[in-house]
Amino acid sequence: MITKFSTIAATLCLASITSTQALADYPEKKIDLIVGYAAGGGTDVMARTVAPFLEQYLGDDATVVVKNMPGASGQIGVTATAQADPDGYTIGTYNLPGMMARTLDRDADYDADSFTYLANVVDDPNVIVTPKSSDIDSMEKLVAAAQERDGAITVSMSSLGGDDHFFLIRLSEETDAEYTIVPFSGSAPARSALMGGHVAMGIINLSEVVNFRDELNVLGIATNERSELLEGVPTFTEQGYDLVNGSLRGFIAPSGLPEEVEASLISAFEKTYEDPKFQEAMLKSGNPISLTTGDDFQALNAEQLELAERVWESSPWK
Amino acid sequence: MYGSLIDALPAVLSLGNFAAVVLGVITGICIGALPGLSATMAISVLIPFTFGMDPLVALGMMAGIYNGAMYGGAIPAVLLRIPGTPAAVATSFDGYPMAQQGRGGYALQVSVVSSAIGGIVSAIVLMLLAPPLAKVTLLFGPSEVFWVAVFGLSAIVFLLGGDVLKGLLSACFGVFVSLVGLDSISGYDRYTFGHLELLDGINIVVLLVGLYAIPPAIALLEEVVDVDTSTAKKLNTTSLWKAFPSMLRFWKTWLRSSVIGVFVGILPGAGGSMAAFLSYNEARRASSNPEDWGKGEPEGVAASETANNADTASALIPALTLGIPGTAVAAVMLGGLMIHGLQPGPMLFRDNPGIVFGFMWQFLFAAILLIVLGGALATNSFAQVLRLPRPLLGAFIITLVLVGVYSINGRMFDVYLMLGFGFIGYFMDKLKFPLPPVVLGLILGGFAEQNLRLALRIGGGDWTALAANTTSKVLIAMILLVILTPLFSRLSRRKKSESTA
Amino acid sequence: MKQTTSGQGPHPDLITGIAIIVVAGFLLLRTPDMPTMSSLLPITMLSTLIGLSVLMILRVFAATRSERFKAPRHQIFENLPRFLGIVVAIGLYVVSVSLIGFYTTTAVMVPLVAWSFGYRDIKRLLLADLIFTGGLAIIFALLMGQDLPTEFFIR
Repeated sequence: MITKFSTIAATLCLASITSTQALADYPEKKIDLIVGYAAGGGTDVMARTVAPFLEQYLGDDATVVVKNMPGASGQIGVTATAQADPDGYTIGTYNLPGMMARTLDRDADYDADSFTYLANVVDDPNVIVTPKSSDIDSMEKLVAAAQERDGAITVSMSSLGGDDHFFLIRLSEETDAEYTIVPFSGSAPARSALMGGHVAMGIINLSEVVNFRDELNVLGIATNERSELLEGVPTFTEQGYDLVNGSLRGFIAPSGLPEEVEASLISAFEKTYEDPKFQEAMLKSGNPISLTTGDDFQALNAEQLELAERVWESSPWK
Repeated sequence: MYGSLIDALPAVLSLGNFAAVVLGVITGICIGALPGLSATMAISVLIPFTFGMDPLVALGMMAGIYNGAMYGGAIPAVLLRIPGTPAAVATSFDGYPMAQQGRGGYALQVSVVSSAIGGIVSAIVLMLLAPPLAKVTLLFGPSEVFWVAVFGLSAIVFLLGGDVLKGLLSACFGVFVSLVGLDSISGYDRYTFGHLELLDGINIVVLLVGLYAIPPAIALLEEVVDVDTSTAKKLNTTSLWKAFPSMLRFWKTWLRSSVIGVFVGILPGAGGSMAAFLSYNEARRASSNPEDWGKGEPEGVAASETANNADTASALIPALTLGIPGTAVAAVMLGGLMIHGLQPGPMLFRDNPGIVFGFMWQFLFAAILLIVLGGALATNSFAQVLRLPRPLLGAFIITLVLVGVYSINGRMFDVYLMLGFGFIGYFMDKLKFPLPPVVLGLILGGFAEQNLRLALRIGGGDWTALAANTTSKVLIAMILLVILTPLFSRLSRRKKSESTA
Repeated sequence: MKQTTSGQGPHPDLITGIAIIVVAGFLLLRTPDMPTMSSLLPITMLSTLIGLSVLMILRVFAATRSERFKAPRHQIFENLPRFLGIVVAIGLYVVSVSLIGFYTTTAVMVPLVAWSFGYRDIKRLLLADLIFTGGLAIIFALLMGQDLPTEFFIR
């Protein structure tokens, strides 16, 4: 019994020695940054923009290599990150509410406890848009039309179980009306169907509307304060609807990351975020940024999961 | 707008940017020509690599690869009956018989000239008509796109081959394969058996490579005379410039196929294969000797190759203006733009005219370069590769196929899937089940279904909503015309023969 | 195309037809779980596959009785042992790629397969192998930095 105990203690000691040794000069080898989407997507561009700054602020000639593992709307990549060794040499991109919604609607091999939450970098709020040709150019008219008959308003959006879907459910609760969901695969087709006038309204994200300002009516933006990227567009809160929602993109590592490693990664993300060159690069790629790190990020994740659970219980999307 | 077009030219002609296009075209031809490697895969491998490059260098290479690969796909299609890209399936219908008759060299020359013409027309359309054509794209909502897909599926009637029963079985198989994966409208996973890798559906390249490249590779090792590389030795080439005058009689086909290719390109999601199939059918219907088609008619090669290259630049019209790519390759290229911070949309043309219009010029130059580079490379170099000893060639093909399929998503799963299709393809080939209906069924089956259901949702479940607007009605009329005309002509011919008897 | 009107064993179309019916029938069993609209097209396609296969089987029997029906019998295997050899070789290759790495496997398997299937000029074989595998390594590993299944000795 005693020998057994001492063996365990010895192993623990040994393990902690080796791990502190490894930590002393983290990072001492290349860091894989797993992206769950193909090269060139929004999440991928974020990761590639962040990577050189991360290298700079981690110091010690750190190298960050972006690895694309596309498939199943990011689930393959995030599962790989969850199952990687928590040594700080594998980190990954993370999307909310998508990654939490997948734990509800599919048999996911991970859950909210599988990760160390590093930093959320992008907060891309939802917007409601209507075609330029449409008579519905304000929230009042939209709500009036929607309340007139259930399902009268057709809504194009990018997919089921995503931020746009959750936003619609909340809109439905707030305005006390039923909408007809038309889920396209991807936000660009959803936006085009809207521009062609094939549907009555669309729910997309701020970054997807910036380049189409003149072609669409934007009825509102789901943030607490107005956005610089979309001048003159009121928030929903201003208009009397309690709707704050969006798509979040950030970075996570497998759970059980040594504290020192976690701290140095988070500090590198914070410095990256403060860098004006980084902010400029993100703005150029149309990504509205907003930093949430560590425990706050974890709390944010819990909040998103709760929303997803609520939606899943009241109106499961499959 | 046309002013910015001229302004963009000098930057494109700078040495580095022009060299990128040349390099791209050469790479593209090689990639298209190697069975198993596709333009989609090549560009997706290239994209991360271009992060940090000058945008015009990166885009020039991509434009070159796209155009080069669309022609390159014709080379193995003609010489080995292995289409190098999905869009080259229709090229093999007449190209391979020509090669067997010892006219492979001429078939390749027709391919390269037709590809270049299609590419040039497409690039010019992209340069001059992108904004108005984007408005045409917007006319096509789910119900219209559904009818376009049905129109494409009606081409299956002509692809059935000698045994109608087996042709229909092939088509149903193709449509069924297209249903595997997440049903985006109900959120249900169909036939994924718990594999996340299947959730996004089965990639066309995986199926195509399996069905078309594995059986000939096996045959090469099996020593069957079915795939005969010895004919490749007798390419019988004359100089391209001597052969060119005899091609001028294809001008009607070039024109028709260019229009079809451009039109299919601006529609979201259909792609180069549909353009090639449709244009092949239309050319055959218009031909005075439709019975010779499929037996080595050069005009068939011209029709298919013009259309699949006419689809390239025009597929970028919806991609650049609306963010919806017209083909799988355009989808990957869109990623190539985004990685340089270039977001699609009307603002792109205003904020970055130098890059957007430069990119369009690069498409034009890539198409023109095809004649020079394609003519020289194809007939001389690639035919040499086919002189390799048969067992060695077979082993090489299997290796290339593995690399190509693995690189699409970087996983072995796709390779196993591809081998599965390879063995199905082997038996289909031996039992004379036609393969083209499988390809068309996969491309258009799920696509038609998804749009039908979206249209029904928008229409509140009312089926008449499908034919509610003018665009839909025109499309329905066209479909009826295409299906009924051959029936009537057959009936009237039968009546005539009965009355003479 | 080789066609023989009479052959030994059951008609290949018969076997194919039965195989399609079994597989399609199995897949059809999964449709009741699906939402109605999701299951519509799969049910249609699978039932059509079964129906067409039944017709194909009937055609085989009809052809034995009457000259009016034709069910051409195509020869499947030119050389069955060789075909099985190829299947085994491909299987071995793919498994070995994922186990011991792409370049090692390719360098060993390509000449081995080409040699076993009839190309016996060893000098040229090794030269071709060197150029081919080396070329792939230069393009994919050096120029493109593309990850193919990793070699066992650098893991």
